[in-house]
Amino acid sequence: MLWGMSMKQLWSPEAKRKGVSTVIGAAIFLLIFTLAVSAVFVWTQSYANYVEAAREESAFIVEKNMEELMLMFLNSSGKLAVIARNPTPMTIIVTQVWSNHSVQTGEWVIPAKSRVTISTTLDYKGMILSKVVTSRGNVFSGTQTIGEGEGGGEIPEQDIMDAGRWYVQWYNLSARQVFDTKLGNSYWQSLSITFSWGAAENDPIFGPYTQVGFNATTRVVALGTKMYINWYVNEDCRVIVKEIGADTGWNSGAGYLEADVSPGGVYTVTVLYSRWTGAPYLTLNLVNADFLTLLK
Amino acid sequence: MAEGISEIVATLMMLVIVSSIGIGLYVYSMGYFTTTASALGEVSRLDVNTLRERFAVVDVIVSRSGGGTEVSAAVYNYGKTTVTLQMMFLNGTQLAVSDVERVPPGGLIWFNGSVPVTIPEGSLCYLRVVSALGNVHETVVVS
Repeated sequence: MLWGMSMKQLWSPEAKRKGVSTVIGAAIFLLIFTLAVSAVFVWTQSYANYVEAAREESAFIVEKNMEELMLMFLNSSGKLAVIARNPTPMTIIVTQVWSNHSVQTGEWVIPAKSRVTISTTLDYKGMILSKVVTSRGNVFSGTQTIGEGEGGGEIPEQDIMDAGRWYVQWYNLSARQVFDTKLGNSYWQSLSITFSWGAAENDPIFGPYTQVGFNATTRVVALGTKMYINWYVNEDCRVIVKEIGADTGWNSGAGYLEADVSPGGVYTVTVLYSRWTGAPYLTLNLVNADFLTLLK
Repeated sequence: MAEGISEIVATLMMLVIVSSIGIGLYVYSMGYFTTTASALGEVSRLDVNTLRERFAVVDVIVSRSGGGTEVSAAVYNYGKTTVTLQMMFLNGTQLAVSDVERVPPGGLIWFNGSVPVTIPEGSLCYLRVVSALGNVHETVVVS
């Protein structure tokens, strides 16, 4: 339109009057534009708040996952005492101590790389029924105490198994499958074991010993109506599930045990291994089962 | 003179019409943008609260009585906002909860629910606690 106008038309009184509505229109446009911008500002501010909250949450999850406590639950004159070691570089605050279904709340600060003893008024109910909760929402139990008794005391075999380990006792053999002299212990932490060592008959397995065997026992909770224990062994292994009276006898090669179990039921599994000659290897896998620590 | 008056009237009318349309547009826009901004703010606030809500089930007691099963879950709020516990499920079945429970920051409460079925002792169960904001904590328990 403007291109078709002459300079006279542009500066004429008519053009000036038409400019009044343009000014009002522009003012209203500006108002609406301001509204739109303020709405966008509010939205971006909300989004920024959300992003900030997400960032804080991520940082918190990282801190939570970094928490680690090494615990020992002691019977102190019938009352529960907890020795807590914090191996991490950050401070951990314990807010609850549980013994069975009883709780004592408080605030016990465990500085980085240090050890604190927590005395409670709770009755001692054993390691499996004791746990602590931290301010970051982690629940820790005493599974990390295996292998080192506070004050030199030995940890009972039952506690080792309840804490999610195989209790493995090594023996020197006087003949095939004859366990004579106990050599020592191991604590395995997986229900899927691959044991393989050496190839020749005279390759030692335990110190200078070449003809050795072990008796590994753990307690598991069944996760279905069938529990399978699979193995692959050179020579020889035997699997026993105490509660259902299952005993496979001695086996070599590949095989499995299919056990009828109750979901949630607790079963004691024992694996015997005997190496007399040949390459020592055993692969063992439990399916539909987990360590008792699942129940904590 | 008459021509001048009609020009003034026309200008005034134009002003009135433009102002009316403009004010109408402004009022409509104000309502629209205010509602939108308010809704977005509310959604964002809910999202942030959902994100900041933290709770965990730290202990569970399962007991049987009168042909039913009662479940008590110890719920710990380790966040900075109050958690409202709304529902509880056992193996996917909703439990009847006595009341909606509020857990203050740092608080620990027992959240109770029941189901009119006796769950056999030693059964493996999945317990799920749901908050009013939709956050979920699931744990495995043996009845």
